[in-house]
Amino acid sequence: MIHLDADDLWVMATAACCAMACGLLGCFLVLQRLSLLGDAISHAILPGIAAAFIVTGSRASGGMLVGAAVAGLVTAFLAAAIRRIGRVPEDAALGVVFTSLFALGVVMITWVAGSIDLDPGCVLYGLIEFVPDDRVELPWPLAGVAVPRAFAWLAGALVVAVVFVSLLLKELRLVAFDASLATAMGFSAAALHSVFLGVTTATIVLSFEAVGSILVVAMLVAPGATARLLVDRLGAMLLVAALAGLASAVGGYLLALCMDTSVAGAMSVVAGGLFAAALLLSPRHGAVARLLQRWALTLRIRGEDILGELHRAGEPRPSPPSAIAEPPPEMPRWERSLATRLLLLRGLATRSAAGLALTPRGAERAEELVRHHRRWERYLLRETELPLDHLHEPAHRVEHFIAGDLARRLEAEVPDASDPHRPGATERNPD
Amino acid sequence: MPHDPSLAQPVRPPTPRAGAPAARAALEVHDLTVAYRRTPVLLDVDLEIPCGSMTAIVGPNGAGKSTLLKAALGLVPAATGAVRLFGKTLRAVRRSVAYVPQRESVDWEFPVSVLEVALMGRYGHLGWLRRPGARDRAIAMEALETMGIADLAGRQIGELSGGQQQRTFLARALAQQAELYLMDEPSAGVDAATERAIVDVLRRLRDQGRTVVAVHHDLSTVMAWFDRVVLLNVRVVAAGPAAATLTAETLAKTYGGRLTLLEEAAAVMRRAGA
Repeated sequence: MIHLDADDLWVMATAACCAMACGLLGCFLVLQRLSLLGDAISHAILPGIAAAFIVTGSRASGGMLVGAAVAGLVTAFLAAAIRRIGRVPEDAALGVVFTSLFALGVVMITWVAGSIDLDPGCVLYGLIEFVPDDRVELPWPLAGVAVPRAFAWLAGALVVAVVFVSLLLKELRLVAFDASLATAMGFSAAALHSVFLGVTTATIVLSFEAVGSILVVAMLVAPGATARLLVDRLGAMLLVAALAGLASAVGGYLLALCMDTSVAGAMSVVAGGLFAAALLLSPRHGAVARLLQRWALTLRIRGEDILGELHRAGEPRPSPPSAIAEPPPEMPRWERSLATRLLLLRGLATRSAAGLALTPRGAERAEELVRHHRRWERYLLRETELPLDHLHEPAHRVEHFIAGDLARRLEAEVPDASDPHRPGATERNPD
Repeated sequence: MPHDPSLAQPVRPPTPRAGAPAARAALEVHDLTVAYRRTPVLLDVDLEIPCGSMTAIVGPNGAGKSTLLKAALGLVPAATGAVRLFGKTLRAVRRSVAYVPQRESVDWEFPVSVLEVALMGRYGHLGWLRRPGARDRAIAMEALETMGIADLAGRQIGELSGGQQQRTFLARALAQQAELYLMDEPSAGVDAATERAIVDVLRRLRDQGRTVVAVHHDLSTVMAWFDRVVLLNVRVVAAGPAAATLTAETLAKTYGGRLTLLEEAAAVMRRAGA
């Protein structure tokens, strides 16, 4: 059992504020395919921090925040300018801008690192473990209460993000979905986008010192992408993204304690793990759900094929010479036994000493399938003039999917449900 | 949002609306030139679209049809020229203008429901910060019913067929309760039933005295559906009542050598009343 003291809780709370704020804003980056922009801003603020450090000569946060904010806004501006100029694909241009700026920052920091105390590693991983050591007193009305400085900043960032998103949810939704309609209605998409980038950059800058650039990048994209996989409404997506951020922060911290590893790294790993889990397990878009769906479909089709076999076995069949022998359906044994068991469970078939037999309901369903099959064959014969021996295969595939409205329309088009392969049953359609 | 006091009363005559349309043109374009990277997309366009008419904008690919709508809405900057809507600037009559962009212009995987998209039509009336209320919901639902997709209100838009998506867009425009409807290919790539439904709705709007301007791609149906036509190929080649404007000569001028015989034959047949 892990023992958590007050300092641990402060670290978790700080990380949670950062992750939830980034998660909320990140939803809009994900939806507008701008995830790379978040990456770019969070990397490109490094030279701003370094420049502020060189100019002021101190690690006081004020100067660094200003430097970072300036660099972040420059990146956003450069990105927009490159998009306008448009000769280079946007992602490539953005990639060049932010890696160059980041590299410039690394060069600047290592250049001054010898003379002043600034660790390049801190910039990547942040100093979240040491968050509780640096405290500030809160202003009135909470005067006298000291909280970690980073927590105060990031709690502020979370409040700003929550207020921004909840006040402007309607406008953000419209601009993200249909920017031209938004602008035509008088909600300037460009203006709202600038404000959004401003809030996002401020959040990134505030997060940067505490949690480092790796965690910021992870938190801007992973929770939003996870939420997108799980839900289909914007409001729900924002909520899920915030929860995924919270879970990454808390889970990541516990993981880091257990494994005695980098806190920011562990949180990012958990965020990535949540995304992977959503990818696999999402009820609608998940890989497992799709696999199950396909499997259920296969079993249904196999079951209906078995109904068809039983139906044909019970039907007196004079086997006219022109009839095409229907190929015996090949079915893996385990699928046959599972599908049979399902038929028994659903009361469509019974098993007796004589073997498998249709119940009245099963017979009804089998006859319906046969009717659909034959009607489809007749429809194909009329519409496509496929030769007689090419009708069975497509009809055999389609018969399982004819239901409801489609069935009614097919019946209206093709009232005759007799076998087109049997001469004399009805004459061939004249056209 | 800056509230123009004149907006308190919409520009349209209050009631009854089906009466004689105002004498003013719904859309006036003077000497409009739009260029992308110095290549003109629209050149010296002059247009006047009367109130209560149903107008098709017809022309080959790259003729500037979509750009004309966008320029009327201030979505693309004009190099020269002026646009007037009901004799006023766009700013003054924004709420009386609905816009249906091309279906492909948005991400249909976006996490919104059909009803939420229809509700977006109300946003312009609400302005900044205000949330849609019960009345807005009722209007949006009614628009969905008009388009025959009320039963899909709760669906995520990615689950819809192409025709249903276009109906959703039309419902959003209806919820805007506008006087002028600017539509970019409202019937492109939809099934026959949806096409029918769209035409019926556009006609109903026209019969209520509203003005419809639609980019249209199908020459064989222009005559049957629209009462006025603008033939556009960077410049306005011809504009006016459909029957008088759609001639073999103007079509040839608009499409140059690009018009296929098939389309031309279809148009000629329609004109002959076939």
